[in-house]
Amino acid sequence: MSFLWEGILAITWQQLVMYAVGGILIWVAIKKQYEPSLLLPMGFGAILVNLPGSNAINQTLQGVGEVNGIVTWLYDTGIAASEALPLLLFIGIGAMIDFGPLLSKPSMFLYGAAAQFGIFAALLIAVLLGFDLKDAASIGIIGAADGPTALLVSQVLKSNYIGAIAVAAYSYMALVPIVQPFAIKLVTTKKERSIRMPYESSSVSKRTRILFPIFVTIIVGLIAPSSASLVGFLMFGNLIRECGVLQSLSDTAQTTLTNLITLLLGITISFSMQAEAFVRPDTLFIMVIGLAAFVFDTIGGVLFAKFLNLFTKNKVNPMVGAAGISAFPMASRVVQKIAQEESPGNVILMHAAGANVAGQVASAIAGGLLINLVTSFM
Amino acid sequence: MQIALEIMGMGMLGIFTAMIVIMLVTTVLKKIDNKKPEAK
Repeated sequence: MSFLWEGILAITWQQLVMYAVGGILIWVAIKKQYEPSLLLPMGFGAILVNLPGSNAINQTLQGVGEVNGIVTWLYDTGIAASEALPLLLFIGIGAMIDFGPLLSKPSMFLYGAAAQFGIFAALLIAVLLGFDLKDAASIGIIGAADGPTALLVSQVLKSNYIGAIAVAAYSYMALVPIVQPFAIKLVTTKKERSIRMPYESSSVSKRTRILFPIFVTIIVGLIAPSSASLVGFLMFGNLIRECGVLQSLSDTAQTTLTNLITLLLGITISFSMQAEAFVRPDTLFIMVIGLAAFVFDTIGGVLFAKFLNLFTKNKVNPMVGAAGISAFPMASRVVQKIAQEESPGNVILMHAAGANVAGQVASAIAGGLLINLVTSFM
Repeated sequence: MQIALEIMGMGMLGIFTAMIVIMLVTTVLKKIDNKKPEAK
């Protein structure tokens, strides 16, 4: 009984806050089904690593010295050493993505670029709020709407806020159906949201599908070398999918590999959710700036589409620009849902899907560019 | 602040450059495909 009492007395109020955070993440994962595969392990891990003296993380024992903990080891090996977990996850994501809608209409690449605006807007806000450049850039990358990229950039830049950034990145991705409609309606009229876009399906040959990931890797590697691993692993996964001779590997990447990495990633991230690093006022700022990043991404994409409409004969529904964020396939589904609500029978899903997969590539490029630029100024 | 603005400008320029180059390469690949039907 005295052991229990000692344990209870050792709990700090910051750890209690983390139990509440963990509980909320688990509740959101189960009850709301928002990104459950990541939020649930993160929530459970947040409780696990914040138990007083938890041997899940490294501890110094009297007379023994430092004892290694499994979560610390997973973090050191899987994220800190080489960003292995987020990168390996990109193979699975690449194997899942069908670039067909984008290859059918290559102009959609531009919308993927425009919707990265939130990254830099958030960086600017973070600098104005007093964060140093590397932390501001790490906070800005929440706007990539891409968990692995956010983790990689904040890890490479050695941010002090990796835990908060990971929680914000994954939580807001789950909140895309709430955040995006609000931001879209802020900058569009009903008439614009009702614009119909005919879709002419053009077949994409196997040759193009195979050459695409190879060319993209080379181009991105030359323009933004720090994105080479992210984009390279994404494209490697896609090449496995499209080559037609590695069906078994493609299936494994899409299912087993992705599930295994996801299983470990959430609980590994919880290492950065230790109370002393997480419970501080800055975490609240990061959450707010992260939300602003998603809003600015959406607004950037929509305004870019409206700008292009000034010069084009066949008008684009500006909401397609909002689908240029990386959250795939959620962003394109959200845009289609709004289009359907505004004008029943309006189908812009394929256009939105094209912009959405372009956003996946663009966000990885943005991550690498951010690392290049920030390190050049440090 | 000035550095943040520079990063913003150069970052967006870099992303657009990369995406435009990829778009052009993809368009060329499609054009070649249209001219030269794939071998069965």
